[in-house]
Amino acid sequence: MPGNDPLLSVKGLSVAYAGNAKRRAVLREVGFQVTRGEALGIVGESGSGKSTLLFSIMNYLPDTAVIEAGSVRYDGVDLLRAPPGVLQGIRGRRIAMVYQDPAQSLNPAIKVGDQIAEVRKYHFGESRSAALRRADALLASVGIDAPERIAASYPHELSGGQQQRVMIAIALAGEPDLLVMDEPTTALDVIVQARLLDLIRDLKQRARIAILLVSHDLGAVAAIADRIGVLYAGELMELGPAREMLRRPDNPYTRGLMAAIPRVDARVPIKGIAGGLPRGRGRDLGCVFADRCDLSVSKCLAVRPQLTHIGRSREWLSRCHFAGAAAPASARTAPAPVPTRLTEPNSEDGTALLRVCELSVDYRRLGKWGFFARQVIHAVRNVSFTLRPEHALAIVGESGSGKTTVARTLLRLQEKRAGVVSFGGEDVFAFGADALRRFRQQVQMVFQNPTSSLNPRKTVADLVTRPLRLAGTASDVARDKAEKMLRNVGLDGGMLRRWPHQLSGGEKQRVAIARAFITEPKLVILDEPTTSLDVSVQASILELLARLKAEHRCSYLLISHDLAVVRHVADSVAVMQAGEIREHGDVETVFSEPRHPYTRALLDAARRS
Amino acid sequence: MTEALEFAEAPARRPAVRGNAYLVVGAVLTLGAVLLALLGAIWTPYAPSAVDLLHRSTGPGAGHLLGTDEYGRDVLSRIMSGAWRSISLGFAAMMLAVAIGVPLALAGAYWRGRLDSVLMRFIDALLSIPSLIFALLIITGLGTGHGQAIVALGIAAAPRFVRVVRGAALDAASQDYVTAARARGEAALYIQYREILPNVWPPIVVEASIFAGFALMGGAALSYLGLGTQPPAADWGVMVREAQRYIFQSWWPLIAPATTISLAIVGFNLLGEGLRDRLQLGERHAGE
Repeated sequence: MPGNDPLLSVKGLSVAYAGNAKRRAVLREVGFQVTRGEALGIVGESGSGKSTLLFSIMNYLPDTAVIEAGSVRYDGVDLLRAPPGVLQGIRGRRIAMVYQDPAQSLNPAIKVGDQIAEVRKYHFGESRSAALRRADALLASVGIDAPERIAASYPHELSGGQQQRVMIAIALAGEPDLLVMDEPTTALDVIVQARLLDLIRDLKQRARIAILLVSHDLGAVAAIADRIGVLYAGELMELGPAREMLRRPDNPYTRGLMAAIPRVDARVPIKGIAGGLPRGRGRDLGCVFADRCDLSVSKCLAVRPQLTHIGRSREWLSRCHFAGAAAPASARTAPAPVPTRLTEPNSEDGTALLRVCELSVDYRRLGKWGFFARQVIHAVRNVSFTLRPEHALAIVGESGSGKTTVARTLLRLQEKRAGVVSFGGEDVFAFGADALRRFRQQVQMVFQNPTSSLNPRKTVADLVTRPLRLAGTASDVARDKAEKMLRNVGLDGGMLRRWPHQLSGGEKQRVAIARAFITEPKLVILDEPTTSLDVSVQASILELLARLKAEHRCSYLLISHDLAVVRHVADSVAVMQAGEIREHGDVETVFSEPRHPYTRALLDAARRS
Repeated sequence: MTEALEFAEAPARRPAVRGNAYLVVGAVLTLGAVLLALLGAIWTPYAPSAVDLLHRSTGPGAGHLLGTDEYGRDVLSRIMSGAWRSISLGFAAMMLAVAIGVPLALAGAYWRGRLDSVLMRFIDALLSIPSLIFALLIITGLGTGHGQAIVALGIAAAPRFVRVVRGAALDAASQDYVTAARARGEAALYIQYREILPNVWPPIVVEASIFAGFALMGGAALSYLGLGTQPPAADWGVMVREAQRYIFQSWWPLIAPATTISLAIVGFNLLGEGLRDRLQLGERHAGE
């Protein structure tokens, strides 16, 4: 904002971590400003250096970090060099921070009202009663309905959304000029997420607070920010006004990122960004994105591009040799053919592969009185659906809706209370040992987090061949198949000797997918298969899953909270809430004409963020 | 591994220097004790029970490096031959404790439920008895001797292994790779020993190393009390017991084995601590 002094000004910030032998650069010459009343969003995938940026601003860098150059000025004070006393007066008072996971940031043993009041007492010397009264007012201002009751609660008595609102109230208690938010909505469900974004937008207008929002979620950033900065591998690739930039991104990385995001409203083609973060330090000269970029020419590998102004605006910068060059009409923007349905779903007469009828599952857990009063939780109630061969059904729901319990029960990892699960016409719960073994060969599962689903003490070869070895395949045959399968999922055969910790998140998930497909299953259960991955990687995995489904002619049961992913992958969808299916039907129909209010709320929230 | 982590955001702070120092000193002391034991099993400067009547209760000197005891027996030779008995006792008791503790811990962590609850309450009850007292109780049943001391110390330490290993095993058992294994129909024993066990090695190794030192001390204590190795056979505990009666005539035969015991125990403990730092660091990397 011209004529307005910047509140926060980051200039040429370069940070490195001291490693065993060498330093590795995490941030390089990052610079931006935040003015009063403005919201700047910084978008970055994992490894972009966004956490380091936040730590630098709050001066919370670990001891191993070395600030190689640059400054972080807040209202004229250099935060990187300010004495601790000065910092104490700024942190929490003039700059407040909201973290990703409220459950970890709140003290579980102190009532939330007191946690808010503490800030008032510390920074303003208010008495306890005055501070508590103030806490109620703050809770009301962050959209909490019964502030007195919430103030007297402990964090665990509140929902995730309420906890995050409390965090924001604590941040506001210091009457800060700048609110720094680190992935404030990532840990929350869609509907809660949308409401929280509304609140933040509202605060910005009402309180004229400057906001620095850091997130991997372009949607969340777009919902709030006036300006957006895109961080990749420690470099600011693009910085500009949000609306224009989202409409016509300049930098190839920003464009790639946007092309990778699936949409809720239509099944548009998406495209992942091939490759991964640059490894090692051989890239000092060229562009950090060069080896993943479609536009890359020899100059990109040799000369590091500078931030260049785009168009008439003085505020729009892009770090690319082709910056502003009339957005080359290359592969990335060219409209790819919209994939048709991979298979024409068999008409109604087709025999169901999987039929679930009136399934109910209970959990028993110790109640308030421990051993003597067991509490029964109805996790799943009267759930029915059918899945046809070569068809993809998605079960959508928020956390705690019972969707994962359904999947676990199908696999007989969980006892049911009532209902029938039949696979290929046979009752799954009546299977004897042999039949169960055959069933398990035909049904495989891909989990949300490959770091947890791949045993860290086994090599990729062991992991991928195990399902075959279990079925009695000879080890050399299994190994050959595993090598082919790895190539089929886009990894090279040399991966067989690697350990999971040597792979990136996307590579790990590919290994997990290879393991699932190696037995030629008829049904693959995908439990949030891309939730732990970056968007650009998610797109590649979704492409892969679509291809594998066509090649192997199998069915998918997709468990997801992400409506955009569901729209992209599934043929039909069942919406679950509180253990029951609220709506069930064809994806296009449910998404365009939702009948149940809950489905409408979900879709609405997904469209807004 | 470091390459894949090139751009990881916040690097783990490593207590490398301290861990390495512990590891090196611990390994040197432990290795020294083990070598002494191995050497002592095949060769000693003098026969351990040979009596040199001309040199009784002498201090360290050219003929007898660590002097002689009140009967004129060479202290160094006796320490060396006793080393085998003491160190092997430590290792054997440790392996017995692992052999009892680890399967119980894995079964408990995998099956959970009532069996696990009952097992753990029982273990808690046993843990409330100090190990040495517990070992003494077992000795009362088994009688005295070297083998009996091993069994007693091994059983007495098993509950600790169950506790330590179960914690790590519970963590591993809650990971998706265990769910994945169950979903593809793996046998319970395969999951316990091939999926979970490889992930709980670090605490087992650390605990085993520390416990080996403890068992060494326990064995010496039992011998000192006359419940372990029986004279004329000698281990370090027996040597201390015999020498303390003549402490006012000559203190050397007492100090030498006592110091050896201390150094060996310190060695095993430092090794354990060093391994703990090192292995947990590895864990953190693996978890990236």
